[in-house]
Order: sequence, then C-alpha cells, then structure tokens
Amino acid sequence: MRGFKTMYDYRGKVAGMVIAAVGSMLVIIQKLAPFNVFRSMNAEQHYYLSAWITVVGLFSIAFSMEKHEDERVKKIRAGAMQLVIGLLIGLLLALSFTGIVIGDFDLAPEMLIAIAGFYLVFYLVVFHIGLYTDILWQYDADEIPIVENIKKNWWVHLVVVIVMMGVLLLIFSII
Amino acid sequence: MKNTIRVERAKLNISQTELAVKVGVTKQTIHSVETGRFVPSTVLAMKIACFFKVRIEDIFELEDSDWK
Repeated sequence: MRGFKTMYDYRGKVAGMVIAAVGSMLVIIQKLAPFNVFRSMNAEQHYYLSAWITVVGLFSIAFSMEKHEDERVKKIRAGAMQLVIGLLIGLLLALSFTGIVIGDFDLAPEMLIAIAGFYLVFYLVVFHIGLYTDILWQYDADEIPIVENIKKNWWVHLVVVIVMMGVLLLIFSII
Repeated sequence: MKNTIRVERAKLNISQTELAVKVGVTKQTIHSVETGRFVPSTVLAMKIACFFKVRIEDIFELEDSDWK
C-alpha cells in the first residue's frame, strides 16, 4: 500500500516477543498475587491491563516481518490471515446467533455483531479500493489513471458505497 | 508446473542454500519450488533462470494440470 507501512521489520517481532512475555508474566503474577501500581485502578483493572499488554505484544509479532521475508512467506502469511479472520468472524457470528436465539444477552450479541460487521465492512472497503480504484496500491507498472478507472467502474463504487453506508447505519442502530 | 532446478543445481554443484542466497529467498522457498509445492513469481523464476544462465522455459515447464 502506497504511503502506508503495513508491516514492521524483524525488530518488531523481537520487541513483540519481549512485550508479550512481560505481559503474560504480569498476568500470571496478577492472578496469583494481585498488586496495584496505579492508584486510580483496582486489581481487576490491573489484571486486564496485563492481558492487554500481552495482546499488544502478539499484535506486534503478527504484523512484523520474518528475518527473511520472501514471496513464499508473504503467501503463507496472507493465507493464514485469511483463514484466521474467516474463522474469527464465523465464531463471532455463531456466538451472537446463539445469544440471540437463547436470549442470553450476557454474550452481548450486539457487540459481537458490531465487531464482525466492522471487520467485514472495512475489509470490503479496503479490498474494493485496491481492486477498482488503485489509490493505495502500487503496482510496478505505470500509473493507472484513477479517474478513468472510477468512471469505468462507477456502478461498482456506487453499489459498494451504498452497501457500506447501509451496513454501518445498521450496525450503529443495533449498538 | 515442474522444473529442473535440482538438475541445474547438480550441474553447478551448489546447494539449495547457496542458490537461495544468490536469488534472495530462503532455502525453504527453493525447496518448495523444487518439489513443486510453490510456484514462484515471474521475477523469482527469471532470477533463477538468470543465475543458471538459461531461458526460463528451459527450467520451468507447464503441466496439463496448470491449464485447468
């Protein structure tokens, strides 16, 4: 993506490992012997903060390149992300459907639907920008005329914009 | 897509690691290409052909299954 750095270099992976290790140690310590660092936060908040730090570390690992990132690694990474995001959204939809059908709102089906909806809407927006508009994606070929491309695919953009707005309105109305 | 990278390597007596370093990928990628589990990009295929000083079609060959 032009102008966007979608992956950190290998150092991000090392940093992520350190952050995740520290975070997970804090989670264990907070579980066994809770202690407070910040006065304004209680023990439960400290526990969740530790878990949050662990997940930030995992995020850094997930979005950092391998020491030697070649085309095969990129392909495996894209496939893995596609599979995991598909499973995650499937899980969110299954959980929210269960919550709706059995009326168990402890599962917070509205939040699960919103999270799954946002994932899919943003994915579709970014994917269609890349597919039809080519504003953000840089190919090795010469510049692709954006305006011409939009004119050529105007109906696709119109449909995408209308669908996205409709879905976002639906999500906001549910929340 | 089948290929003759293994044969070309044997002619020059070089390892997968050496070839990987020369074309800027990992040893695992060369192994995957050799075994036909990974189809390389045009750039990588051309780099490999360049390294062995042969044409791409002398190394890589389409199979019937590639047309389906």
